[in-house]
Amino acid sequence: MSNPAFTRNQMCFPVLESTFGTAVTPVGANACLITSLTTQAAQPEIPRPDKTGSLGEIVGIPGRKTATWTAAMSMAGNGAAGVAPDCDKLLQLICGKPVTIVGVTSATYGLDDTNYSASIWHYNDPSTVAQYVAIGAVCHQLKITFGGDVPTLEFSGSCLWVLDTDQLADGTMDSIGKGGISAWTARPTPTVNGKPPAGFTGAITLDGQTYTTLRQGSITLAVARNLPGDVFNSYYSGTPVPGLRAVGVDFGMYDDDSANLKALKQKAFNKTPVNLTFQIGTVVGNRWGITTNNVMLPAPTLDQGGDRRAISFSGAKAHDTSIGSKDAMAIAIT
Amino acid sequence: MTTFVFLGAFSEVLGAGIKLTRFGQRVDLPPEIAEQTTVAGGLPCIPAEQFDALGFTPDELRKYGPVAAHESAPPEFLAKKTQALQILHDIRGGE
Repeated sequence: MSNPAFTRNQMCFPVLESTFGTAVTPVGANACLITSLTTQAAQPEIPRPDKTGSLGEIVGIPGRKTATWTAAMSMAGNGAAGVAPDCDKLLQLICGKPVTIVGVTSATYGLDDTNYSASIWHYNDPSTVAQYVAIGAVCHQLKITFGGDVPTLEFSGSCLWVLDTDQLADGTMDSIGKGGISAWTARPTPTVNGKPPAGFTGAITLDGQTYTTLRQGSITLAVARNLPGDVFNSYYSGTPVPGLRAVGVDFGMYDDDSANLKALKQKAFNKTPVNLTFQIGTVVGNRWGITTNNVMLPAPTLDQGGDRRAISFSGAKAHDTSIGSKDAMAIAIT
Repeated sequence: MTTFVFLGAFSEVLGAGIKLTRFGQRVDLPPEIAEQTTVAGGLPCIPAEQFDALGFTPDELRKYGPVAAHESAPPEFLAKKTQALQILHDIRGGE
């Protein structure tokens, strides 16, 4: 009798690689709770273009191998101040920089140009169904969403390949796709830490002024880390090539006639850059402070849909404060 | 088994019957889980003898077990808490 795989029984263990495409085995401390995790391999058929004297197609040849991954989770800090959260490796992956622990007060993720890669282990109970690992995973985007009940983090990217237990057992599988794995690592006993703060708690500071009228917001950190798909004599992509890093800011708030908000709107129309800090959570060890610098706000748009008029600033971009300073955005968990 | 003390807010080792919900909570850890307290992602716990040496009183641990209560804790408690976290920080080599 066959055993089903239930999607609730899914677990994620991201581990940084020291060499791109060489898988690193996980331990229990690498566990990171997720709301969703996908690891998807793809290899298209290259159609044979020759005419055959009839209307039908003849079988093609195998194309290049590509793969993608996404992981979403609640925004849970460790719970102890100055200790990295369980999603530490994913944050390092997108930020391109190791976490900075300051004394016993904060864990901060700044930006740098390093291209990390990770092995993202994707387990599902029962252990007899196919298990997966995204090898050589690079992160293209992190979207942080807040203002609702549960603040969330959504990571996405591409990877060299997604290996599964069935492929590993297949003697014809090539060595690159196996990522150096000779025997599958059973799922470790997971250690998980912390809880998410309520997404509607915290402190919002826009251009140095505190606001209590925020409704919702999101911050998107996108880094164009390309895995070149035109490598000669290989079905797999090449090592990561870095591209543009962009930080987007979107938020909505209630409209009012306060001098502070009027000044903020004026800066949006004047295109005067402002600094914005969104602190989500109020309990020590689980306060996520996301700072975006040099944000050029778009003209606000009005929302008359509810009982109280609201405005939103959509599509704003944050910028480094000077060339090479890599400080358009930072995440500090305190 | 070695006795450790929890410094976080909420942690769990799934399937191992270990669930920690209060600062100062004591827990006996098997060697493989104890070893992972020394790396990022492991339980934020330090060995009990090091924690006990900091001089937390039973009353402090009762009052300030929930991390949310630390906002209103007196400086003496917060100083000891800082020392406890510093021990963890040192054990983890700054991670």
